[in-house]
Amino acid sequence: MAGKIHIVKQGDYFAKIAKKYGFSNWRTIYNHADNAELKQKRPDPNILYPGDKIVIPNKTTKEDSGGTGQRHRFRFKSDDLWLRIVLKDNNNKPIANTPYQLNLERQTIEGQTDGDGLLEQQIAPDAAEGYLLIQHREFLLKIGHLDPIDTITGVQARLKNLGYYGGEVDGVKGKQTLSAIEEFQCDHGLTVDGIAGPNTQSKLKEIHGC
Amino acid sequence: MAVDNENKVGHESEGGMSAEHPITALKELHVAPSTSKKDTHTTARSEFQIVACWKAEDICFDFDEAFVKKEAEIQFKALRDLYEKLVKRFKMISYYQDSPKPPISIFGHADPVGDCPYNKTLSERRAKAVYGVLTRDVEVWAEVFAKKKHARYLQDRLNGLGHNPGTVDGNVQKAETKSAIRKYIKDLCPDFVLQPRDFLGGSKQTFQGCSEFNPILIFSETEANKFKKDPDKTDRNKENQPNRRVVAFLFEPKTTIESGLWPCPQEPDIQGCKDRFYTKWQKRLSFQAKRREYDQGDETFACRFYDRLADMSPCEAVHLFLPPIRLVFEWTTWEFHIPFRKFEKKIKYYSEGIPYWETRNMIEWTDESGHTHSLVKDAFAQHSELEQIERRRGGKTFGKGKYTTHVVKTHLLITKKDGQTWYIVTAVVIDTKTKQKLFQGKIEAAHLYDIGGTWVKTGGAGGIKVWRKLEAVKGGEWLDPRTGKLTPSEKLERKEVKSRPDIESKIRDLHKQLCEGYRHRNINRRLEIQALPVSAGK
Repeated sequence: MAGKIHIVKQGDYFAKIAKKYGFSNWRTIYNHADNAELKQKRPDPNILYPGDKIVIPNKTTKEDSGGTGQRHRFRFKSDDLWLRIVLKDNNNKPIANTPYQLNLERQTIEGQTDGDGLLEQQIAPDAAEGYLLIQHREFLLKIGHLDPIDTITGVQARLKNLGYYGGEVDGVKGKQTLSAIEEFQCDHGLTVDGIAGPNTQSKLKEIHGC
Repeated sequence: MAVDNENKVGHESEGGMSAEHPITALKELHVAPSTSKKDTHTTARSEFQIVACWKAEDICFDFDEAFVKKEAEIQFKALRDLYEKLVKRFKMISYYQDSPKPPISIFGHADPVGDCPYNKTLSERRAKAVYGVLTRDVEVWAEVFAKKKHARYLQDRLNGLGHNPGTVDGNVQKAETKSAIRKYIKDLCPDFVLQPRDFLGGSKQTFQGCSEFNPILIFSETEANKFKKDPDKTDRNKENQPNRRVVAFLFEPKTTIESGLWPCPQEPDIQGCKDRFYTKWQKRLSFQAKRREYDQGDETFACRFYDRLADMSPCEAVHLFLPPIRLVFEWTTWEFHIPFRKFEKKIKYYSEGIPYWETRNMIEWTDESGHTHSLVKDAFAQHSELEQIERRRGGKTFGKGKYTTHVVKTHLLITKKDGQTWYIVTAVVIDTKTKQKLFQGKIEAAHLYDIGGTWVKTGGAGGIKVWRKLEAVKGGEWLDPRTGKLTPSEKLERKEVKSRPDIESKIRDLHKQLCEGYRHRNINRRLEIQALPVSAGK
């Protein structure tokens, strides 16, 4: 029997939703039969779109038998949540082996990017916002705010991350967005037409990483 | 992400301007967290930042040539000031301490008249000539004027300016010409020199011409047709002037841009420019129903790359600099930066006690606080209205009541919005009884009392009540008889006058306008228009 419906807000991602409803494993929800259609539409559980409907199944109790008087060890499959960001400079060169500081809601983490400029950090399963300080730059991280590639906001956010777009991620395809799409197309050998069609989207996803 | 919209204009004059770009606030990254799929990631790439811009307008160059005129001298000074200010600021931030200089890239622009290749060359030559001045590199100028006809032109010009280039023979390489160039460009920019490494790097990024691809002003269809029909192109060229400019962008220190990522080609290559055009570039450059201007939000640039650079630039705007009208009298100087209108008015005068009316030409303008002032135009001719007042009132004493006002000198007669006539005078206000000097300075005085403001009745003269509105033009305190306290008077701010040789011709034209149709022997004596620092007695 289906449980309640969760309507995705900006910033939601499966791990966060799972935690909200008391599930230790988000896969239970994602792989649930009632969410099959959603799973097809959203192949990446971390990239959702505001308005998406997720069916939250009823929690089932798991029964396990074990002899009394004995010690039993129960292990929860805890959800790993990671932040993986590849940082590049304006010449597209990775900002490698550079110290950074991550300030999330309840964590302050110091680390170093690897030789490929990758920042890979485990974070709390419901992280929402944070600040990344590296060299002299500061970034505001909006975790879970990346929309699917086939949405305007998704295209804008990726172009913004890649330094092509300087405006607001607002879903409005204005002159700045158009210019950014054309620039991206020009730089990557695509037909320059200002339209984020399937070729552009696929290239953007490839270059951006997700 | 919201941008801090604090446009900081450093310098503005008819020949150009300099300004800082708004500071981009924190950059937002929209990231998706990763779960078990260890291969997905977000890529974040930081863009280069522009921190300031500088512009040299068309009047800094000879028409249709790359020769940099004396008019540019002020603009180079402005660039020096901007540059030094930025270096000082960046030195204070630890990340930039070891390398606080903002690298520069120069862009030349042409107006839409003429074909693209020609304009590409001309705009690049202008940008290059500016580069040559800033680096004080004679070889660069030799390259800009390499062609025989350009070399001859250069030699001619240098000759005319008193820098002997030898015979005018089109040979820019000879020693005398190079020596003349060296002296001239040093003169143009005497106390500011940059090295090639202070620019964005490599000749591909240091200077380039955008031909006519990025105008900041595009005529309306009607205007374009009008200009097309007119065989005399003077008006059209004048209207197009804002498009003919050289703009320099100053980048965040430590910025390097790989030449592969800098799309601007050197002349004669235009295809490289076109590769970066918007798909709808023809529409952008076309004449449409209305006149369009870049800084009004209109899409007038064809090149995407340049659009991104210039997007936040205060320099990329049609800049109307109103030259000042300086009226220099024998005793004081007033300066106006405001458009004025002319009209006729009947003024009552008295001759031996008998009133008569005369028509006078007036100039009227509205100041920043909304007051309309008017001035008798012909006051500059025969007897200046002011001279008449001076004769009548200068040295006179008003009122023998509680306060006595002794007028030392009359400066200006103005008529305010409500029709009242005011005088600006230098006066001393004395307590009649104690003879204590209560106030000395410039004040505005009227025959009839003004409503609002600070005014004090100081007595009467000839049956007329005289009220004084005590507004010191420059400092001054007065004793408020109501409270018995010394109060600083309201200050009327006047702009400090600086030397502006570049607008002298404009002022001469205005002088002509002002004195239009009036022939009188005293005209030159009464009205003197100068562009000199204030030294006239106060």
